[in-house]
Amino acid sequence: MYRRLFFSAFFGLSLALVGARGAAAADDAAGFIGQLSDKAIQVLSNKQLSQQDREQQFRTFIQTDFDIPEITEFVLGRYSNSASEQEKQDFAKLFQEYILRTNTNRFAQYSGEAVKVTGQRPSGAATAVQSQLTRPNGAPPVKVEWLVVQKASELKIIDINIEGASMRMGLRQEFAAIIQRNNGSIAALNQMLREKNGG
Amino acid sequence: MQESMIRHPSPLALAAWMTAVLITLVGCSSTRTSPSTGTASVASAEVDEANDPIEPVNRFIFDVNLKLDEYTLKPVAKGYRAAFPQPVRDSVHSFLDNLKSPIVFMNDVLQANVTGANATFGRFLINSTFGLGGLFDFAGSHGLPGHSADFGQTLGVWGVPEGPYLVLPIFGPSNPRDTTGLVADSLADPFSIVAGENGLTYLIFVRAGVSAIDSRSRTIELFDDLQRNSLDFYAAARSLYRQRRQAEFERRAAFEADEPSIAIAQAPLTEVSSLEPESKALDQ
Repeated sequence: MYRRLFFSAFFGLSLALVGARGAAAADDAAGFIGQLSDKAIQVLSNKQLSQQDREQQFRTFIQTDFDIPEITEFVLGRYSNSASEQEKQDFAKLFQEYILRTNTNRFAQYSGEAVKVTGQRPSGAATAVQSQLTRPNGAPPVKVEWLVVQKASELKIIDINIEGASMRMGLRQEFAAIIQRNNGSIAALNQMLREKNGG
Repeated sequence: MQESMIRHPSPLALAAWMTAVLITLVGCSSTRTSPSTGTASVASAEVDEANDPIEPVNRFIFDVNLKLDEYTLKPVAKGYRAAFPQPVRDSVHSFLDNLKSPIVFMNDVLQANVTGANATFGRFLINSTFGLGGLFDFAGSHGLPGHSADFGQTLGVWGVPEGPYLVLPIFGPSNPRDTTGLVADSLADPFSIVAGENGLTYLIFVRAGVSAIDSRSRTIELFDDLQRNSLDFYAAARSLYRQRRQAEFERRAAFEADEPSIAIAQAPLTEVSSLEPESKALDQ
């Protein structure tokens, strides 16, 4: 009898703990984005860093704070099924390099913008963190939403939505168009990515 | 590029042209769907997703538009940005925005968007007076931000499907529904009607030109970024247009749910003035 009580109490407590952990993690999503933007701005405003150091830092941020495998899977969409293992591996490598490059370029054009986190809401299994990208020259703020998921104990970004347009959806549709125009060949998409990365 | 501009070469001719385009497109899309069902492959499903049956034509127009932009609108927009300081450009933008208010208001009403209509009407009154004829977005800086509404959106609210993707010469990305909206809005615009009736038709063109320069000057970086980083600029632009329109539509559907569900203490952002309409619950 006591044993049963003990078990149910233990079970209840552990459930409560898991629940609390889940809630804490979700609560953290907004904080996570806030910290990330602070980190990025610190690197950008640190005049002692060389351009190379700065780029290296951004690469690290992107690699640690974005769920690149998940994004890779998403952007390939249904073509993931028809691609060969080799094509998929190539794509994963090329795509990672592509997002590192494009986003490092974007960071490099930084001119005093700031991210103001305004709230968060659940979005399926993920949490959407709402923010406003304020610009220094008085231009109207841009609405940016960060889609954050929890992977093990870490929070990771899986999408950035700018004024209603999802970046991963944009890439998925763009890649689908390229694959289609090349008769379903992922190799052709890989070749285009290779050229883009090289140039 | 697709920002609504006002054209007025004979409304009837335009309407006739539009009808012709619509019939052609609807015809195209229906003949197109039947053969593709035969090959129920990966590719056909993706074609449905892009809903772009006249892609080769669209790509051609897109390329021509791009060249046109490169040699005309873009350099002018850049020059405009270099020549005038931010406050002046802001005033130009606010003024143009204020001129659009009647059309936004009409569409708010047609969409049964009470909150939106209230806001638009309030903004128009406030900005036309305190904002010195619309030169300053007085309402916006006091907690009553603007929003857009157009007849393409209204048709969507009424349940009209967007139809296949369409790239219009000069106007850029669109679809039959938004094209119809563009024409309807320009025909119904009080500014154009008043200008036309008073022999000031040239004002319609001046306004269209300035609007084009204003909106282009605000998207130089975004546009360049997309062009530089995309592998297929046409497909990227198509996705962006679709997603943005869809988001606008959803935003309208949940007009009052625009605010984040869990507000986080942020002094400058939680500042809500008394101008904020109280009747949020009224709107569905």
